[in-house]
Amino acid sequence: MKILKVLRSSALSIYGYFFFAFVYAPILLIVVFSFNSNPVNMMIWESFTLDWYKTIFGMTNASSESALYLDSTDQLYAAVQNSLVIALTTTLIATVFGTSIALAVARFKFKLKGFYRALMFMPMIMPDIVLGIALLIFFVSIGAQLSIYTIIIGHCTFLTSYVFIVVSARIADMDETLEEASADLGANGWTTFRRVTLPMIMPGVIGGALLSFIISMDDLVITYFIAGVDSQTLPVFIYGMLRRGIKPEINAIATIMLLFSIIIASIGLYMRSRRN
Amino acid sequence: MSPILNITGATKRFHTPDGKSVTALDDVSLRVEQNEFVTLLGPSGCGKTTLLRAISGFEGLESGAIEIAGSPVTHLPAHKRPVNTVFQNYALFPHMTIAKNIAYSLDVADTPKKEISERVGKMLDIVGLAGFGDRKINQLSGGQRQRVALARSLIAQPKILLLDEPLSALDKNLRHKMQQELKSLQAEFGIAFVFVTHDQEEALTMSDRIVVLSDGKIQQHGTPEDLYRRPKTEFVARFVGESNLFEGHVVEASSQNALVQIGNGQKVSINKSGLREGVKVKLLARPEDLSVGHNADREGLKFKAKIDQLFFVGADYQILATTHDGLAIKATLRPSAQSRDPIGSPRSEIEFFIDKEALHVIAAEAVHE
Ligand SMILES: Nc1ncnc2c1ncn2[C@@H]1O[C@H](COP(=O)(O)OP(=O)(O)OP(=O)(O)O)[C@@H](O)[C@H]1O
Ligand SMILES: [Mg+2]
Repeated sequence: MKILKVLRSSALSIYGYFFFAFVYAPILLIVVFSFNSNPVNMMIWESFTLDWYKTIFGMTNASSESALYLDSTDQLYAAVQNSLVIALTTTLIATVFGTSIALAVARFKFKLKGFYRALMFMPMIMPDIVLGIALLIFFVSIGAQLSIYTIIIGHCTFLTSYVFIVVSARIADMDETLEEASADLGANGWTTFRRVTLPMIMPGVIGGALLSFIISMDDLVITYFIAGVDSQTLPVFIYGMLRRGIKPEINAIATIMLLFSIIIASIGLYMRSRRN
Repeated sequence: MSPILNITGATKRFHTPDGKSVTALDDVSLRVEQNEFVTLLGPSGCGKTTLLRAISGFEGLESGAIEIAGSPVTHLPAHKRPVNTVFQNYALFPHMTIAKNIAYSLDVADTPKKEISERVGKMLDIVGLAGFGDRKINQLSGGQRQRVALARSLIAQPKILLLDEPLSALDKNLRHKMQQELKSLQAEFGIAFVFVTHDQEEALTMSDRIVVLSDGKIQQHGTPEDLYRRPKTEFVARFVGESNLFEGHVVEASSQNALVQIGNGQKVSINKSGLREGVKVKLLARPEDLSVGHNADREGLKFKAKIDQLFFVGADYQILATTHDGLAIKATLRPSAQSRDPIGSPRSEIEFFIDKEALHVIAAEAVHE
């Protein structure tokens, strides 16, 4: 009996290790490859190098012309800049709108409330590709030039609903009598919002904002449809590079993006732990 | 002097989702004097919270008017009314320290910082939480939270303090302690307290006046003694204190007296005017009005009964018994100082006597006095 028990528990642990290996091995490989100096076959370890990072940061002049697969670092920078501008603007707009709608749905009485709530959930379950095509058709039919602005509008349409959902969950947890207590103690509606409601739902608002920032930064499918020629984002740019083969610089870019996401997620977790 | 709170004809209906409507307040009129401790007492769902929320401004009225300190507030929003509330769950702000919680009403009124810290310090002293100012709410016990809630609603010196079952979450010992503290706080601040409870014992011990509500209507209001000794309806008699009620009818009525015959045929003459012959009545006797044995000099009701249960509770015996004609009787008996013999034992026979002076008449129809 005892042997059976040991067997079972070790089988479970092995299963667990495999699971994590399965999830994390590819990511780990990318990080490792990004330091591999073999320019032709990255699967074969040659030696440690920072060349790929140097290339993306424009620190090597084209000394080894054959190794430089990037069309130009300027294009990469433009894509990164576009992505950041889009993500920041979208996050700001989506957070303000998503939070306001969540508050309105939770606090006010109006007709067809359930219907509006369902409407807010729709963009989340809608397939990206459908949303992308729909947005493209919409922009074209109103004669809008595809640009960074169409991307921002496009991202806002579904990220607002992500923020809405995250903030709504937080509001549902909040004790409504706190707002009544504030009014009872002489605070008007605005003061109550500023001093009680907003601080109470802040973890949700920050969580929603970080989520929409990360999603906006790495959205490919929807952005691909509504990005103009000069408004490539980083994911669209990388996808373009990939079509001409996997190049070592991509590993370096991916590693940096990974680091970036980890930092943002850590900020989110840290803020949450500090509030509780 | 004009009353600090004057409610006239307050009516409030709620519409439930299934299209029905609930009358939570039905033509409620109530005056509360300055410095009075008034308790709203009633069973669950009778409208106590609704009445409190109407006073504080969280619930509008269909009809009726509310005046506070002589000025109408019926259409004033909650944040402009000079009343503060201690909520049942305390509703303390978890993202603020104790001191910030207490200072909240002064803060939003833009009181100078120096004055705020002085007054908060004083308030912390009064409620016995000196030195706790920098703590967060989740570092306090239930009783301490209660005190913070009290301090927070008293610091702005409201004209009336409203308390919605503030003690219901506390254990029994703490509850008794807080009852006393509430009374002394009220004396110290000299303002009116409107206190909600469904615990009749709490209402009796704490109140200057009790308002008994049922189904959104005021059944009776008066001093604790009034309600205990002279309830106007069977509902009040049963709700406030323990009671023995004997059904009967008036067989003879004169200008001062009425002869009442109860179910088992006994007759007793009661000192009460205004009763008509044939009127159905109930006679109320409180458990402590019962004594053992028959006193031949006195007129009253007597019952032979069998003891069902007997509890010794220190000074008194509490007895549950059934009379020979099937009436359930509750009695509280105190053995005399001379005889310390046990009063009886379960299943033993006992004879109760109720002096006619102790009987209170409740008419099935309203009695005009
Ligand atoms: N917002 C509401 N919507 C619909 N009905 C309500 C609402 N608030 C209260 N009621 C109803 O009004 C009646 C009075 O409620 P209220 O809360 O005043 O009772 P209460 O005396 O405070 O009871 P408890 O002792 O249980 O707190 C109840 O029948 C209740 O169901
Ligand atoms: Mg209530």
